[in-house]
This record gives sequence, structure tokens and C-alpha cells, in this order.
Amino acid sequence: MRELLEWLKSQKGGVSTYWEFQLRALKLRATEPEQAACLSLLADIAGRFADKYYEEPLPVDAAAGALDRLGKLLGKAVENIEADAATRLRVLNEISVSELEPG
Amino acid sequence: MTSIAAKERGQKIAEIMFKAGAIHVSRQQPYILAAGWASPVYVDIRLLIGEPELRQQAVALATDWMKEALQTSAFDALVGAETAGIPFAAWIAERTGLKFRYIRKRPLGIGRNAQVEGGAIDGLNALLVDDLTTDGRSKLNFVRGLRAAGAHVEHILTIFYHDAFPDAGVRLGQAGLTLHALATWSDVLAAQDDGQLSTQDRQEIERFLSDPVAWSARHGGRSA
Repeated sequence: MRELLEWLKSQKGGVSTYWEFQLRALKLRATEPEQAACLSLLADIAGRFADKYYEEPLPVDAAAGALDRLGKLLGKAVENIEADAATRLRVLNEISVSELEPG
Repeated sequence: MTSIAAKERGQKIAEIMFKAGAIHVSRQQPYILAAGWASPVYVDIRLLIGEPELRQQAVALATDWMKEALQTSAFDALVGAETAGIPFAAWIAERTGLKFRYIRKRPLGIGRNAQVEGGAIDGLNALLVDDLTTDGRSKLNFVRGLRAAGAHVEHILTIFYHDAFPDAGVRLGQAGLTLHALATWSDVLAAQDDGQLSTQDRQEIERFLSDPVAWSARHGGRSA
């Protein structure tokens, strides 16, 4: 998951970034099964954003904001990899109700 | 080399795009294209679909291209790409008498789990039709789906090709695909814009097109 975060930091946040992120996150579940739930939730968020903007204009501010939000969510998940079960569950719940664009 | 007929067709398509209001320029708030490039323009070909006169003109021009292409390529079917490629492919198929199918972005996930709809595609020479091409990635996704279903696909037709950035042609070429576009940026710049673009808009587009990579880097997009 740390490598996924490093990859994300190198991206500019076009729709292709989110499709690629989704693929990478889902694939990573095989090698990091203990993070599978978190990776699935992050993949869902990225996929929803990509689907929304696939055929709509993506303004530069929205792109930057979404990339920042996804990076923060993934960063929080990485920070808490070794945390206790209650903390990890709290992070999962936070991710599960998050979207990449402002509500 | 682009033929005179192709240039005329390109300019006519560009003029139709202007009449439909399909070319949006945002000098203050650039758009981020799928591959991460920043651009001052967003092209919405779907606006052509809604207006009878404009869509009829666009489809007639696409059908002319199709009839020329059929002289050298034996297409069996036109496949519309979800979503805006679907109506264009259907209208061209209607005018040429070719089979019509459409392809989803991804398999449905239930039932037959089909990605291609409208009938079998196995063994058919298919022309993928879409409204717009930017970096070509979504076209590759559609072609993978078609090939997995047994179709032969070597050609793609789009109404407009956002040909400012270098990636798409190479990417599609590596997959054995040739992209055909009815209009590109050179057609848009050469066309009568029907008062849609201000002088500043046109200058911004010209600045962008003179060095799209540098423009992108200066406006929050990719730089390489």
C-alpha cells in the first residue's frame, strides 16, 4: 500500500489516474490480503470519481482537490496499518463515507 | 497527406461543432484531460446529437467518410462506444446498411456479463465509432472488449480527435489500430467560428496548440 501511495504522489490526476488507481488497488488485495477491505473501499471511491468525469469536464481545481483527498485517505490508511482493530475500523468507516469531490 | 476532401469535411465538422456550442474555452480554470494534461478547451460532441439539423449534417459527413473507407476496408459492423458513440454508429449504420452493435465501458457484471450488445460480434470486421478521442486509453479498453468477444478490430472512427498531445497515436498504433478523425484542432482553427470564440479565446487556443506540453505544465497539468 505504501508503493501505491508513492505512485499516486507522482500523478497529475486526470481520469486515467483513477482508473489506474482502481486497478492497482484491486490487484494489491492479492498480495496484501490484510488490507483488502481498505483497498476495495479506496478502489470504489476512485472508480466512482472516474465514472463521473469520464464524460464531463474536469476543472483543474477539482482534479487537484480529488487527488489531494485520495492521497490523504490512502495516507491515513498507510499510517494505521499497524494500529489496533478499533482504529483501523474507524479509518475504514471514514473511507467508506468519503467521496473525492466536495459534497 | 490530408486530401482536399478530408480538409473540407474537417472544416465542416468544425463549423457544426461551433454551431452546436461544442467547444468550450476556459481561460481562468483549465480542464484536466483524462491523461492528466491541462487544456483550456473542453469539447462536447454530445451537443451535436440533440439538434436535428446539426446531427444530420454531421452524420452525412461521417457517412461520406464511411463510404470511402468501405472501398478499401471490408467492415461488417459498426460498433458504438458507450455512450456518445452509440447514436453516431447507429445513424451511420442505418445509412450504410451495415450491422450495428454497441459496447459498454465494462461488462454488465450480471446475467450474460456481456460487454457487446446488439448481436454476435465473433468473426466480424468491426469499426469502433466514438464521439471523441483524447489520449486513446478508453478506445483501447473498448477494443480489448471487442477482441475478447472475437471481433477483428483495426480501425477507429471519431468525430473529433484532440490531437494536441503525443500519446494517443503511438498507443493505438502499438495495439494495431488506426485512428480516423473527421476533424482535429487544425480544422477548428481554420473554420468559421460563428462568433463563438472571442479574440482572447482564439489566442489562448493558439498559445496552447503552439506548445501543448508546456501550456499544460504551466497550468497544473502534466509536463511530460
